[in-house]
Amino acid sequence: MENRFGFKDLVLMTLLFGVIGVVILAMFQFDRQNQRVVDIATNLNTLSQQSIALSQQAEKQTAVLNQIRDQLAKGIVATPAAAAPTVSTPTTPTTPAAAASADTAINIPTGPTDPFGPLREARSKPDFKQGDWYIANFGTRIGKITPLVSSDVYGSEVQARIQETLLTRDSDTLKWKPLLAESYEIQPDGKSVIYKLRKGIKFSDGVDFTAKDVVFTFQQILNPKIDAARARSSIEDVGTKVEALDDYTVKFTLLKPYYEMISLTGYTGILPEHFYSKFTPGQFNETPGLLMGTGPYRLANPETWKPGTRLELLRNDYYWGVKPAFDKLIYLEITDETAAETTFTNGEMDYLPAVAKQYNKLKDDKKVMANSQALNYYNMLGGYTYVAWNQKKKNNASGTNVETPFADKRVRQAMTMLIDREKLAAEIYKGYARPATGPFSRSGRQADPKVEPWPYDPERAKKLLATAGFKDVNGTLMTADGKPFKFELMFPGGSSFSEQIALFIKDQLAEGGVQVELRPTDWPALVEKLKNGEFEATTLGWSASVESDLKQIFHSSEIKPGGDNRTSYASPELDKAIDAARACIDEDQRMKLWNACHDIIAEDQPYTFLVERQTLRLMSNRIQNIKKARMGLNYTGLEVMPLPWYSNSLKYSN
Amino acid sequence: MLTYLFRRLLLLGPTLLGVSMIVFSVFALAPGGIEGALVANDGNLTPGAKEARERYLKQRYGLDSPPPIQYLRWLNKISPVGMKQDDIGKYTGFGFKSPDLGDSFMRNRPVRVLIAESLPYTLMLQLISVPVTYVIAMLAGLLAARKRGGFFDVASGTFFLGMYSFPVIALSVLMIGFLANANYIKIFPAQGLSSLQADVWPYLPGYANGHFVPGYLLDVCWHLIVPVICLSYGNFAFLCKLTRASVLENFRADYVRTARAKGLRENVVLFRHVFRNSLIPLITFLASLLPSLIIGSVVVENVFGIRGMGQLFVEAAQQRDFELSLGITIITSTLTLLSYLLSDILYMVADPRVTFE
Repeated sequence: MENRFGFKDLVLMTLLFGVIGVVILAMFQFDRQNQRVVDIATNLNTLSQQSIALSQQAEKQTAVLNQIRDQLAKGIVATPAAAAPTVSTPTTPTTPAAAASADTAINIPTGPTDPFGPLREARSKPDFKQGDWYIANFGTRIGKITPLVSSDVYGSEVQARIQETLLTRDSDTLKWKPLLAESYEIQPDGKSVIYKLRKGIKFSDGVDFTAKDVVFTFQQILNPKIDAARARSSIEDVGTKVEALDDYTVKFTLLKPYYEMISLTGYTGILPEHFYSKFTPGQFNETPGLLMGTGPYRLANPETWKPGTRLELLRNDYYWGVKPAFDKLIYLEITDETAAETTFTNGEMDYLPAVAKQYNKLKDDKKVMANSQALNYYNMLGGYTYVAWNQKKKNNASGTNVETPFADKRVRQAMTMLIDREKLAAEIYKGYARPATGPFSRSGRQADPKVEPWPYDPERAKKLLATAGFKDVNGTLMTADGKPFKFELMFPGGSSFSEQIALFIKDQLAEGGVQVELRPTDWPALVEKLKNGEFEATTLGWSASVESDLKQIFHSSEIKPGGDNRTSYASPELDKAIDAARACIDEDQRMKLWNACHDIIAEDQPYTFLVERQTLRLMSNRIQNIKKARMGLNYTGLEVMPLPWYSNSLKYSN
Repeated sequence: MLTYLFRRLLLLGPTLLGVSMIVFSVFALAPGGIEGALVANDGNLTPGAKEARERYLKQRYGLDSPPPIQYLRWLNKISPVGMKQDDIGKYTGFGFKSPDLGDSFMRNRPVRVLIAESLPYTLMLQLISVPVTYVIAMLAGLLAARKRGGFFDVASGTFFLGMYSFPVIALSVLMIGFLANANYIKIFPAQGLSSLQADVWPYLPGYANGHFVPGYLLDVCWHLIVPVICLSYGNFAFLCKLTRASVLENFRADYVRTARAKGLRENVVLFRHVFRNSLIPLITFLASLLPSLIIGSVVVENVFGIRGMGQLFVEAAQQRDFELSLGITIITSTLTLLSYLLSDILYMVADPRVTFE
């Protein structure tokens, strides 16, 4: 017999490989089922603990009832005052059952300081249903969700569901409300603050939350071995010292009064010490999914999440506050646009962020709109786009900085008036944008409501340029020394959107006689050039926060390598105004100071502020109670705040 | 033979060195340099403590030293013999050590772990799609060769060539847009490798609470169908033509004439004699497919949201994560070189006329 590889062998081999493949798949599945069995066992365990606690309670109550009966039999009138304390003999809430009935365990006064106001309101609606899943999409691959060391916004979104902060911001008034803290008090010296923490809060593994965890969180940030340089530097700069006065009181002390004291200290996610202290800094830096906290949701396992496995957040049974509606939050990672849109229109996803064109298309599609709602709103964190005018360009030949025409305020103002920002919003953003007035969101408290965007007025611009020494020769603008006025506009290459904006600016300025040469630049190179001041003008965007710090971008002390004042804009008046605002602790007063900064910047136009864009998204019709608020919507993924949305139909269940 | 093997293996080292040097130079010479991406990719553009983070990263990954030093440091890291390092990165002495692929800047995790996480997904996709491609293309090639110039030959040739010319990205997006879309035909899932509810399902299909449940196995297969089609269809043309040519060549051989003259049935001639001998070029071609197994499915992985090696490599290159990119490059180029060697050896095994003496 020949010993050769025949057709029979081929069939056998294929079968063999098939069996091996199936066995491997089965192993994965058994692994998952095993995990599930463990979960169920844990749940059973807590359930049995609950029932024990309940039966103990029942026993006690029977005892009390018997006592009352006895007393009644004896003919003594039992006054409620005598009976009440016995009935409510507190059984220490050690089980999720006791913790879940948190409204009774932790007293959260309703009213202006109640962080759960919107959620309570939602729960009282007739179509409110407890349960269902909320499925969102991160249009990217999440690398890491461990707090402090994850650098992308998606990590922050997951952390904001799982870890809570001492304070939270109201989405409408933008003011602080106590969350983990019961109250806070800024000390008269203006550089320290004392937080009183709520008692009875537990982490998602049932361990009590105390002042020690707050202290640990800040020690972790300040530990140089932890890869949290960003968070660390802002705290180190002001020399934050944190101490626990007792188990439920924490005091923070800064070197000097600093306006961000409250957000630095009260708006940092609190890490459970008993959990994170188990890991060395190396493990903390490198493990992708170490995440546990006091928040309403938790990971199935706080240690083992890995990129590539689905990101699912389960309800935290120990949650101390008002329960949010959804049983599960699921974050998909669909990067492809078509795939994301299809998944959404199939009803397999509840949230689709859209670009203007796509938004318009879907909004007019009756089939899609039958089960979705279209939302467009100004998100306070959305930021703005701008053209930065460099006032001192680095000359490569001599190595010195040379003043550009943009050093003259009149030129910058004229440039702004030559660019029709309303038209930009209408054409490129399809109307889902409005001209920006300055570096603050127009819906925020920092912006001076009196500041209007500069008008589009080419005639006034030309007059202004004439006073600055430019001459109009047959429609071309000439500088004082007789050369045509032209400059290079740098923008990120490879982004068709930036290119559209750059072309728009070129067109608009050409009408005013200014020649613009476009310089699409690779992102790393662009950053390098910005850093060295090797550009004349650039169009980019800044994202914003609820309270933005102007110092980084516009203070003259930031004109240095690595600083973000890349245009060499210096105004002593503004420097003073920024310093004053940054040293002011009182929020209402500080907002007035920021308003003053806004006025100066609007007048000086170090940037031409182009537009603030709207956030466009489609949401499934199942999701209810989505309202517009000053911050954008009444729930912003990135902020630590209770989730007031709910589903009116229970599509999924655990 | 052994000397030949030895020589080839010795050549492996310098070639890999060259490859890594070129890849590293590309990174170092790009505008902004190696550390450029660290600044550029630092989250969204919130004005923040960028400088502190930059300083920290530079120090942590040694980016402040000149590129040649960085390259040598990396070489030392991956080589099994070299300067040993302790936990905080100090050099302690010379000797044998365990080779290390380094750390990814962006993810701040060991490259080895990142690869280990992504590799299974890609391998699963490819190990299904390659046999599927081979079986279909070989059968088609055989049939086409049997009736050369006949209807099937022309039709399959045209059809496969058409598929070969159709870009993967377009087809996969169209497949999602039409076959996984509730507005058209919804027979396939649009994304991922399992359904949201899959982890509560049993392994095999069955009934649970009176409802039909597809089960985990069927669910995975169902999710794999479209990605596998998209991965395979482009290779049909090449393999089919290869088989066809090889079968035709063998048909003209003397031994076939003898077999036919013996009065053997045509099917016996085709499958027992011709087919076996025609397999030789196909087997050797298989070896050269090895490297593309690793990162050959970038587009499909991206569109269908499968977190495989292709994804990882594209991300690494985009973010200029040089230790991650170099790690993947070294692995794929080693595989490429080994697979060429393997294909040479297979040649010799399959065809006794070939020798390397």
